[in-house]
Amino acid sequence: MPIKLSEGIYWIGIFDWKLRVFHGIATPKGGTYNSYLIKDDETAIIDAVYQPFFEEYLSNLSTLVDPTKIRYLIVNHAEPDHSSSIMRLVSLNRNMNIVCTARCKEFLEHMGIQGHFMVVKEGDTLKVGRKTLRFMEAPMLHWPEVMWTFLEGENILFPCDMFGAQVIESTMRAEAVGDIETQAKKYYAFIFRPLVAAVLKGLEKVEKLAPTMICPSHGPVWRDVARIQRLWREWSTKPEKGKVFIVYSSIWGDVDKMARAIADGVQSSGAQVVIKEVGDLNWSGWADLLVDAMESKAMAIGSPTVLGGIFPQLLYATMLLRLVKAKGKIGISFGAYGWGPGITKKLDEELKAMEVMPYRDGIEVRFIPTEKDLQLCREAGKELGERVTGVS
Amino acid sequence: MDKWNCTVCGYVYNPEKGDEASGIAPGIAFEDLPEDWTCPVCGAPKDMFEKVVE
Repeated sequence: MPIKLSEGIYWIGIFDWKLRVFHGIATPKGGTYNSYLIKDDETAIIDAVYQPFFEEYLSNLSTLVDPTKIRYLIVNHAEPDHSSSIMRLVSLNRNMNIVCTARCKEFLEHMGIQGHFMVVKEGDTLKVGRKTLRFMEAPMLHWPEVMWTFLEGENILFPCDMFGAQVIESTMRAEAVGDIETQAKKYYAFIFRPLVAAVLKGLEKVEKLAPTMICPSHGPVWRDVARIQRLWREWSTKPEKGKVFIVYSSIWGDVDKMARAIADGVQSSGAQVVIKEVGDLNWSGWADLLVDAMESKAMAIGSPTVLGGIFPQLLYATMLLRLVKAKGKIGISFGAYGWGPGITKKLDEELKAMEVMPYRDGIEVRFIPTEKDLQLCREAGKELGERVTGVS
Repeated sequence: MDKWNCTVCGYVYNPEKGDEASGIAPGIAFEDLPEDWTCPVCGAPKDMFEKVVE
């Protein structure tokens, strides 16, 4: 059902209680597709919802407004979770103006959406009565066509997917979610961390706007706007903690022994360590890798040798972790081989592709690590730990 | 002068051509583009470009 946020401003989105994975982000508490209604002399809607929920959406919004009386549909973003029900809305109301950027119009038309478009650009305003909406282009936050909508005077910002989280809180209050920071961080790491350069520009823009309320397109609304801005700035500038992240594949447990010996070494230094074997991961685990990598100052990656190369399972993790785009991390590689050596040279290339600097030669063992090999792993782990805590 | 590639959409900035739509005349090196210049195709900021190695 709709939720009143402020005078004339309503949330009319959808709670998707059964959502468990949102394109790679685990959503154990479900997720939301937010749509907002602005009621003044004219009626405007900001974004629609994912098409399978259209009937529920229509019945919700009809409790507040006659769908044929909606004057403006403001499209902040063309992604299907917001746009795929636009045609059904248009079919009920052919006079509705679709307000969006030029790029967004091009995207929507390509998706088969037809209607009366009203193209806006940076700084354009729209009066809907006493309320005035201002539009701001926000390219690559997180698609090229994205714009933000700002309710002037009341200073309510609708920043599309920025500042979102995929979690349901039935009163739509971010402050009421106990683990909101963890949820928001997972969402940030997956969707916005790869676009950190654009995010930093966006954050500056938000500071100038000084919003009093932030209404993202997924998850609850923020009234404690300083908190979410502070978190986003921290994740975009200094997300690292004194933590070493070990991620590896193992077939017969030999690389696993090496990983644990490295972890023992890290622990002996007093630094934090997280170890993950990629074979153990489900969807939620894959998404968490990004947060682990974002928060680590050093990484160790390990693999057995499979036909002269890295075990492919690990390569999915390294491809994913390339998205983290955090420079300045150090790393080491470790691995096992039976017939021919060289696996750590290949792993070092993966570290470099993730912008992690392999600062020493990797550790390779033949078949099964000996006690001497494991001692080398422990020493390497201790050194990694000392480097991240600043001892050496 | 080097060409630069947008890592998001694949657009290539060629300094010999410039970027007419954004008012960038031919002959301007990528490094000399204004800091707020963005990719004319997808809007990605300058930081998301990589130098093309030929």
